[in-house]
Amino acid sequence: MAYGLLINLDRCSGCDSCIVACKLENDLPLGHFYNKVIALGPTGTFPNVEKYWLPSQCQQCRNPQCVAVCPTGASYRDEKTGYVLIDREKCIGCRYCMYACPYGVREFNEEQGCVQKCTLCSQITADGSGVPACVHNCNCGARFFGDFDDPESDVCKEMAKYPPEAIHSLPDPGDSQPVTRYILSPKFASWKELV
Amino acid sequence: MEIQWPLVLFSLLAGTGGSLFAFVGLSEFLGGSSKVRDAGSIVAIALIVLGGCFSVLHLASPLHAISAVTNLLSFSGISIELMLLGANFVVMLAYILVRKRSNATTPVKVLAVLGIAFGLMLGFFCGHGYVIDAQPTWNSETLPLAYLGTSLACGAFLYGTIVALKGDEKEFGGKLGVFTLGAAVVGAIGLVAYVAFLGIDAASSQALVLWGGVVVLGIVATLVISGLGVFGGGKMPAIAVDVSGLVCAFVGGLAVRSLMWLCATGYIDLFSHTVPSVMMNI
Repeated sequence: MAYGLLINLDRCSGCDSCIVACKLENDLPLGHFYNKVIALGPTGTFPNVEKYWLPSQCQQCRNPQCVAVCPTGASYRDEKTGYVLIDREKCIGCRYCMYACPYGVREFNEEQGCVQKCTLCSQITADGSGVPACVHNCNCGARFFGDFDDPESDVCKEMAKYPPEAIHSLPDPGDSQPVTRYILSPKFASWKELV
Repeated sequence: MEIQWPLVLFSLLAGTGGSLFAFVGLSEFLGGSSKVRDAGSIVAIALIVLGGCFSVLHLASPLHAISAVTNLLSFSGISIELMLLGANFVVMLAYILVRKRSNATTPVKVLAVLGIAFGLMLGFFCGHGYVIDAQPTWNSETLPLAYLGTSLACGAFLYGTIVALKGDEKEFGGKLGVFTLGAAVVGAIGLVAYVAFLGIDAASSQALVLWGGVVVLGIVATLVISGLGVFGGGKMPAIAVDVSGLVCAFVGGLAVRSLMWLCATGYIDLFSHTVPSVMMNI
């Protein structure tokens, strides 16, 4: 299994509700985040300008570099679900995983002395009954959660509505194989590779 | 990225200790004074212990180091550093004890060979753990080469300092200066290679660290001073050559490690941007 997020950027309005929902659900203190929304653009020359928002969080890689460098096994990928998680009891706060993450989506919690990141709200979703808070609270219906290996999952069904050229993932520098996918149709904006 | 001083000091001190012991091991084969070997071994073991103490200061709590030790077989960059730190400590301690309690030469020479190998590996692998795809400015084997080279130069000058204090002119068959110059050359090659990999534009963004620390002190001064030790005709006292060389090589080692942190950009550092949404410079 490879559970993860699909985010339809054709629908994302950049309202930041996903950030607020995540902070509330995961009780994140001021200044700490599991996800952020980045505005890309505007680019181009009037009247041909474009802009889109890129919600960003852990990409739930199939071959996570953060796991490879962790000296204690605190960072791990749950083989049953594909969730990339951190065992706080095992984390020693060396921050090596933060240096090794190609997307810079982990952060160090000084108070707890450990690294933290998006867990796909495993406290809600681990038993298969719910969806992450960011998905549930997305005002525009832009976020989907499910198993990318299951054609009947919400993510696969949504992706099936779009042509391949509208489906994107973040660049992968070291065979990390990020699971998260983004939908962005060329009629709205051209996908920016960021590197 | 912010300079992680505990890691900078760990890698340089432990690497210097390993390189110093490599010189002690070499003296077993090339000839040297027992007093120098004894003092060199003790200083080397003190340096890797001190380096190890600095490394745990990087953790959320120093006690967490125990967790890293109990997961040695993860073979992550940190576990390899820990293994080499332990291997160096054991070999150095065994070398000291065997020399004190036995006249047998074979075990000492075996330990000397192991010490040379492990000592050099420690300097290299303290930098190799940073060679990761997610950090484009670290992702080159020139980085561990710079780590090894600067550690080697520090170890060579430190050994020379101990010789100047406790030894005689016949150390390494009178060729110690040549070996020190060789170590300084390896250090300079490592520094030039890493700066070339970074690119002069990126490296120049930290002008004082690059030009003052890496180029002037780490490369030029270190080479000139080690050259004086060989070609100076003994006009400059050996202790002055080695201490000044050690200071310059050490600052060069600190500078290149600092440069590594200061020039780190991340592959795509998405969380470096604050909320609310910001525009990326594309």
